[in-house]
Formats: sequence, C-alpha cells, structure tokens
Amino acid sequence: MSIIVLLAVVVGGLLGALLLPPEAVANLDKIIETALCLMLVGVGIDLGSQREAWRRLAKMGFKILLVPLFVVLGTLGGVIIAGWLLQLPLKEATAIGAGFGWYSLSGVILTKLHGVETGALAFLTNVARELLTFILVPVLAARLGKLSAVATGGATTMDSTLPLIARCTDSHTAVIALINGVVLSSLVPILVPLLMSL
Amino acid sequence: MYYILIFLCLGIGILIGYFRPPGVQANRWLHRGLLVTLIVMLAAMGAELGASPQILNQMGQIGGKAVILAFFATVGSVVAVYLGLERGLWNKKRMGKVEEEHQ
Repeated sequence: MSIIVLLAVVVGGLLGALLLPPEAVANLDKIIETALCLMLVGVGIDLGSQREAWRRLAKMGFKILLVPLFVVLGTLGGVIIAGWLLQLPLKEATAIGAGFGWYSLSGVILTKLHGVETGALAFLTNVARELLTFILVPVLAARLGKLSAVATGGATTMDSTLPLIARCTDSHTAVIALINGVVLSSLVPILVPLLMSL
Repeated sequence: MYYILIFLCLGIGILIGYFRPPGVQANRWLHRGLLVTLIVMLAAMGAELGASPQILNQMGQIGGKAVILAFFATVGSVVAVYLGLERGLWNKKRMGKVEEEHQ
C-alpha cells in the first residue's frame, strides 16, 4: 500500500516535471477536486458502515472518547510548539497536525484549500507520523503504557498500525485502538478544513 | 465553498454508509474505487509538485519541517495520553473500568 502511494506521487511528479504541458497542469486542480469529492463520499460510506465500532463506542460510553480527545489535545499542543519553532502560521500548523497520520486525505485537502506547498508538508508530516508510530509502538507498549502506544498512531490505529498495536498490547487495547482510529479518522475531514478556516 | 463541499460529500457518504451499509461484494468495489481515486489524487498532487520548480527546490526543507511537525505531534499525543489518562486525572482505575465493562 505504502509503495502504491509513493509510486503514485513520484510518477505524478515526474509527469508534472517532464511531460505535462502547462494547460494540463492548470486542469490538475479540477481533477484533484473531483477525485477528492468522490473519495470523501467513499470514506463517508466506509465510516458510516462501521456499525460494529460505533455500537461498541456507544456500549463503552463516553469514557472511551477520552483517548482520541487527549490525542487531539496532545497533537495540537505539539504542532503549536513545532509551528512556533518553524515560524508556521498557527492555522497551518494545527491543520497539518489534524491529519493525525492520515497523509493522503490531509495532504490532498490542504493542497486544495491552501496550495500544493502546504499539501506537500501535510503529506510528508503525516507519512512521518505513521513511520514514527511503527517505530514507537513496541517501545512505548513495553516501557510506558498501552494507551500511550495507541496515542502515537492517531487515525492510523484503525487500519495500518492496528495489527502492530494488537501484537504489542492486548485485545482490549486493540479495541480501544480501533475506536480511537475510527473517531480520529472521522475528525480528519472535519478538523483540517475547520482549523484552516480560522 | 470548498469547505461546504467537503462536509457535504462526507455527510452524504456517512448517511449512505449508515443506512445502506454495503455488502461484501459492494464493499470490495468501494475499496477498489477508493484506491483508484486515491492514486489519481496523489498522482495529480505529485504532478502539481513536479510542475512547480520552486517547490521542488524546497523539498528538502519541507521534509525537514515535516519530521519536526510529526515528532512534536506524536510526542504531544503520547504525553497527553500518558499524563492525562495513564497517570493523571482519569487514572488507571477509571480506564481499567472501561476495559472491565468491555469484558
């Protein structure tokens, strides 16, 4: 999957740099916009149909929401400091952080809303977050705590990093990770544009 | 305008998914479709990057910024969850309860 993503960006980059005439480049925005809308409908269907996760969420009560809530607070706190160090505008830093590791969606939404440079930064930041998660989950699960291990992954704990979390922790934590990922994934397409519009 | 469009598309999807959840076959097609739109979107984003020499020149710098942002985002999340949930106000007893209730 990661190879497909990387290949798509690199092949696109080569096409843009070497082959595409300027008229075609001018139309890329329309292509991104149409594909983004289609993808959001698809993502919505996927999220809406996760009835099992939503049912478990309702059963476990609001306490389980504390995990994604603290991940949101911690992520935004972290990127506010990083943004200050890098002299990034506050809304840009927080919108990039609100990708919570979902690089494809946050990268494209920000390319659409704020230009390709911010989109690229969001893409790379969230790719780096996913990579960091793969490195940190085993260490944190052993040394700090299971929930701390879940916290690293952000939105990725419902799919790409879930198998690793399940292996390094236990089945209860894996369920918490799944719900954490579903809640954070649902927040990405809401928070990214919202923070950018502030 | 785009903001409204984003929420509208997502909202329509969630409603469809909740009230008419796709079956196994439809779900397979949904994920294939998602993969295709994802590849198209990323290739178009890559092409925009490739066609912009000034951004290509800054790629190293953007990568460096990305690593710093990702590091702080991840560490911030861990610190918040560790202090807030595993050690803090909502201590282990309470989070343990969540797990017990699940059992």
